[in-house]
Amino acid sequence: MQAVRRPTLSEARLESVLETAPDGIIVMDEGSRLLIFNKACEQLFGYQASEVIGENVSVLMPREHQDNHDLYVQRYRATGERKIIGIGREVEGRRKDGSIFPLDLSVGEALTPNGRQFIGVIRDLSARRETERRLAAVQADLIRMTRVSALDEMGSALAHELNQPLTAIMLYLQALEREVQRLQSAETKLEPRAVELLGKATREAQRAGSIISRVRQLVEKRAPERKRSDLNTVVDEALELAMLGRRRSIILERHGPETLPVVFVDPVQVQQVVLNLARNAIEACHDADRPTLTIKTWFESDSVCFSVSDNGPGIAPEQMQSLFSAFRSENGTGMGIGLTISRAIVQNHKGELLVDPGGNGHGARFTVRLPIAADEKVANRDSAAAMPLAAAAEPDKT
Amino acid sequence: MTVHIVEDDDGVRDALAELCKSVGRRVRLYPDGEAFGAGTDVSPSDVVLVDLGLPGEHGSEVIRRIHALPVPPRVIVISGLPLADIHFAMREFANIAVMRKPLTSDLLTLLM
Ligand SMILES: Nc1ncnc2c1ncn2[C@@H]1O[C@H](COP(=O)(O)OP(=O)(O)OP(=O)(O)O)[C@@H](O)[C@H]1O
Ligand SMILES: [Mg+2]
Repeated sequence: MQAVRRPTLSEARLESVLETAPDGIIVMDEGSRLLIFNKACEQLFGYQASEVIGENVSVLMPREHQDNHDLYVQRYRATGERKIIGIGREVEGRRKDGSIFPLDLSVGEALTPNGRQFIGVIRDLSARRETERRLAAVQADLIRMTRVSALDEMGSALAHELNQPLTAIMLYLQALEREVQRLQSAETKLEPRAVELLGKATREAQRAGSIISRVRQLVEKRAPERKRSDLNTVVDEALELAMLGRRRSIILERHGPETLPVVFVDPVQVQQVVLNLARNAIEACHDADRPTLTIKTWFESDSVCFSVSDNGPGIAPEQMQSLFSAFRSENGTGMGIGLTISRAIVQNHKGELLVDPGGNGHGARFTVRLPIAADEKVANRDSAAAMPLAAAAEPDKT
Repeated sequence: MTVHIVEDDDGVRDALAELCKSVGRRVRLYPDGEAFGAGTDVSPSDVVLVDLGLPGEHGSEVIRRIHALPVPPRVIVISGLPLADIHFAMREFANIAVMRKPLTSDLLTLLM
């Protein structure tokens, strides 16, 4: 319980404090009736003090909370359990015109000769929310921009790579044509073999289609969308894009267990992180002896992780400081925002992006940890514990 | 007559094999030039399909080795490279059929 405090200010002084306070201040009694409603509150809520003094405080709340408020107060009086007093939190307020706005509310309590009173200090959060919304919009645009710049580079490689499945399709279809011709002359029915060839042709057609649609997904402007995802699939699809047209110049090593706990992420955004890290790694090991990109996935107690490392020169100590600052690219080809964006994405997912700079003959290694989806944690604790930690961290080569 | 297929893309290699089989040809498959080796088990009546852009050893290297055989078999080049690159890679070889990916003309007529 809060320290008992008797009102010591004279009424005149109290009034001047209330009227000049930049924050909204309300005082209510145990019956939730408003006793004080200061100038700042009048501006925030659009009511004159005279309109609300003596009213239940719930006139200031969205309708769906009104009924509950009296219950909250009752419960607090019965149990002393604090949901808001002395803590402060973000809630919603309702203006006289009915509009709802976000506010930060801190509540204190005082015992007065007239009984227990509650004092609320209110700060309008709409401005801050608006800034946050704009920041998020700018970030989304930036995120899309890096996707587009990655794509530029992929464009010609893409055309080449699409030729492979298309070539296969045409060959299968030619073979199928022969088959059908043969059947027609023999006047028999379509054989399983012809069906098998048709199936193969269809698969190749799908391969071409899926590459195109994956690329399209990356460039399209879209709202972030989280879903339960398998990190292995997310990583492999991004790698396919990162390796487009490079399979001859870069060795790709992929390690990790076949199954991982589910993560709740926006797969396109996580793919972008993989893509950014992989592109950096590929660039870094360009001049290495046998340029190798190593990707691992694994899981630990409550996170699923992946790492991207290369056998380039690593990151110089003096570069480490500004590594995550935007527009400080050292390699002269990029915009220098890949890592900044990647870290923002990972943090938005309540994960971590860690860097081991390497050096002395070792390439850099970037590790991303993402929390396991909430409902997976219990189910997975057993399997994670059954697996020796070293084995979990250094999974077999697949 | 056996058709030897040196192609690194799994889909294309398998598709080439299926097409050859559908006209009754035997096939041997190699994912790269190293697997094809010196070409000593290729008989003069065989046909070798070579992709130019191979991992490791370049396709033109494979052709060079084939041409060094006492009686070289027929070679057909398949490539998805830009035309200029194909011309450059093929500058030392004459009379070799080149098919570009995706294949537009009928490979079968070349194989017959
Ligand atoms: N694996 C790595 N090895 C060595 N240096 C790296 C590695 N990854 C990143 N760096 C360094 O960090 C810098 C910043 O990377 P970042 O991805 O943010 O920008 P960028 O790759 O230069 O441009 P882009 O915006 O196109 O991604 C790179 O320019 C590079 O110098
Ligand atoms: Mg980058």
